[in-house]
Amino acid sequence: MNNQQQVGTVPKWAANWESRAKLIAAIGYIFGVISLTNLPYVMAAYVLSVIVFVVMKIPITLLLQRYLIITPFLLLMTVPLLWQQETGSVIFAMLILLKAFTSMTIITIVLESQSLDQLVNGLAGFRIPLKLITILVLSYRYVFMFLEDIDRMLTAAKSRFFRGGINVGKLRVYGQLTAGLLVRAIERSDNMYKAMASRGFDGQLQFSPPKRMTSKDIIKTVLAISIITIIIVIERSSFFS
Amino acid sequence: MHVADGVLSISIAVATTAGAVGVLTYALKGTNEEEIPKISLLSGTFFVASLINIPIGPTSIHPLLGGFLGLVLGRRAPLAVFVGLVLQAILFQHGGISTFGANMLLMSIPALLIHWLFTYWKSPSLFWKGCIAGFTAIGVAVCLLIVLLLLSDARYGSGSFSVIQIVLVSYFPLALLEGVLTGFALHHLASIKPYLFKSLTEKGGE
Repeated sequence: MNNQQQVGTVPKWAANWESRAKLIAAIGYIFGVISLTNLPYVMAAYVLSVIVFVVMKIPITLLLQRYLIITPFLLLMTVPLLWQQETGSVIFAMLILLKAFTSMTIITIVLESQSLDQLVNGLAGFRIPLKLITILVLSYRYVFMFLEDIDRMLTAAKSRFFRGGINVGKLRVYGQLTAGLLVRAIERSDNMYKAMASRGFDGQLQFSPPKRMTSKDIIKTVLAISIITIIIVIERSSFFS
Repeated sequence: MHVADGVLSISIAVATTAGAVGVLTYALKGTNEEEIPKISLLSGTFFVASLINIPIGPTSIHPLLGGFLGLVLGRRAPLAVFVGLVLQAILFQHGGISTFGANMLLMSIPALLIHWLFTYWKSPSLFWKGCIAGFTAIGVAVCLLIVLLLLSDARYGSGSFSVIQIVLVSYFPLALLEGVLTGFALHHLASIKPYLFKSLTEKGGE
């Protein structure tokens, strides 16, 4: 299921949630979760994020796949902590895992409840310099072409019995492949600039104005940030009492 | 390097996010319209090149190309890092939101250091410049990662089998491989497009 098909299945209240408002809610929630220091509160924040995920009717297998993606790095950061033979270290390792999984759940909700165009328009709607958004959009458009290029180059290398590995001769081939890819990009960029300049390109792509943020969007964002704020306040108050 | 959310403390996450905004502003300053297609395409290319899997036994590694970024893009390297991180998040869900700034700095600072280093140090051959750039970029990034981890929580460094030791052991061979690969890539690129590296070879020019 691609992103467009996925967006079609999420409830209307989530799909219509304005991109910028949704991003602010997600960033606020994630930073809030990161600031928590006690396991039960992080667990509460995680469970809430999973409930929202389920309500949004996004396939749970997709979420599990994404947990798998971040697991190797998380294991690198947590497994050595388990060797320290202190209860505190084990809890610390669990905190890292839960915070990372909460964040991944929120990121998946954001990515799967809107199209990439909406997301990019949302980013452009923040006061991010347009040149930066232009660079991002152009790179995104061309990255699939480069993926095809590298695929073709690797197929060509394999057809000449190149099997990969880490000896000097093979690293030379990898270096040449990388350089070859850059040469193509540089040549394309010259032609691309000429083509764009002839169509009036002034360094910035034009984006459609972002959708107006409605009171409903603001309520949803305030609700998300309020929930994490309440969890933080309860944690702090129980810590000091 | 994909530091996931939850690994760094909130104060480090906020500080690195602010630092990343500063680095991006520096990289973006003075960009003219002619450079934009070139920066965009090179950013996309570096992202794709970093996806090349190099098989090692049952597993595989991929190059980071931070040093190469610094040599080719100079002060614009952080823009390519930004693009790479956003594309990684969108296409592969790697990285994190609260650690976006940290990941940005871990790749951008070494690239900028390499750019400044070889602006003034012109004597090594292009191959050796590439080797030094590739190795140093990973070395600096790992040192920065260790500093961020220790500032976040001292437990990352404690014990005889600590996270810091594992990070050092796992990234050292990668730094060596990256150095050799960058050396060959730079040498090959310079033989096809020598004008790209005039500033690295001619004395007096930036």
